[in-house]
Amino acid sequence: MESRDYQKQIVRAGLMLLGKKLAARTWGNVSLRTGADRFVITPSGIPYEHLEPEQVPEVNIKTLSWSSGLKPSSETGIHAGIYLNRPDIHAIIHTHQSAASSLSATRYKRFDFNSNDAKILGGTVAVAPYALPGTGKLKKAAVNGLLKNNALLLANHGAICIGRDLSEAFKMASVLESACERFLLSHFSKIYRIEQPSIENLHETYLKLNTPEMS
Amino acid sequence: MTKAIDMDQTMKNRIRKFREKILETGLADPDTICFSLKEGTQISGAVGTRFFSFSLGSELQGDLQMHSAVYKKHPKFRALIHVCGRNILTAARAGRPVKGVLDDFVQIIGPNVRMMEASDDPAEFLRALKRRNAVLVKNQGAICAGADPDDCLAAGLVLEKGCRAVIESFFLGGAAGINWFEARLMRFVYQFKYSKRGQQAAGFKAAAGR
Repeated sequence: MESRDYQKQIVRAGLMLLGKKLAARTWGNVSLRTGADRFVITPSGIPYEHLEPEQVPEVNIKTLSWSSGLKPSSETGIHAGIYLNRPDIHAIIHTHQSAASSLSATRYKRFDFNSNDAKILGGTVAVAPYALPGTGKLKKAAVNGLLKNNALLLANHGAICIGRDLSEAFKMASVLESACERFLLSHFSKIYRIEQPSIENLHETYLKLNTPEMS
Repeated sequence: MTKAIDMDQTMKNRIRKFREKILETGLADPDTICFSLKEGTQISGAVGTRFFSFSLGSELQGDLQMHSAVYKKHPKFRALIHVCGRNILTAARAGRPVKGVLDDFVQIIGPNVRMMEASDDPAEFLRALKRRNAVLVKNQGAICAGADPDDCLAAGLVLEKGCRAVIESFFLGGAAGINWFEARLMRFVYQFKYSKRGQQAAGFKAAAGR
């Protein structure tokens, strides 16, 4: 495949991130391995709906130098680190998806999802310790968290999902999102003994417990 | 009552498109949507299905008076939207400020979002908006501000997600907050980077001859 084809795939993947509500505007990033030592990745600060293939940079995995396009995403180092440590992986998406973000903010060490979700996600999903975006600490936490698993929550930030190709990485992100939603409702139903929990119940309960005049 | 300015077709199309964009996000209802955009000295926008346009110096009332006060005080803001997504509304009903527990929230909105009582007093709104891009209005929702329409809508989206994280994590023992220093550092870096991004994209397009 030509570089241009990979760049076009990144543009399409960016639009999919928006369409599936896994990210908005310029948040998150997507990359695709183009060879043993190179990958293409979304550039920094360009809204996905305005991204053109020629703006997508191709990056060297070891040196992080890039050719063509705009400056790569500020999280390029994380993608390079994952590709270096996971030769079986060819696609990475970093999302700011809502339910996963909610769970990530708890800073639990890991989440044990139900068996069907766990099967797809590769067992339990860990939460990488908190680190500021764009730092080496975040890169190390993300790379270590994905040595054996294909999905990872980043504390107070979002998620990273990886796969042998983009469709596998996207599937991982979708399953992770619904697994997080189910986990929350199941936990809520156990605590409050609600047989058929819903988001509406959850909001009502939140208000009862957090509004002085309602409690 | 101040006389409205006639809106040209280009502005009408812009308002119509932005109204649709806001509605697509689910952050507002078609009947109660309220937003404004500033272009030069003109404030244009929509309340429900009604479009409006005034000059910045006009004497206005209610929400538009608050919009006008924000544009006068903060020339960097050129868009304001009233948002009432499900999570924002629950946070507004709870009546407390919401702490930023997600990185994108503290970058785009600030370390937290303040809560104000519903009021027509622009001074109160300006106080609550100080160094933030959004304000929660008790029992009503929130008002977001941005340097352009997309920036403003982004504030609405991260506010909705940030409120969701606070509400949902409450049932799992609560969210771990981002520390004071790191939150302010991220906000500062984001604002600095954001001001340079527009120039970079414009430069690339010029170089590519588009």
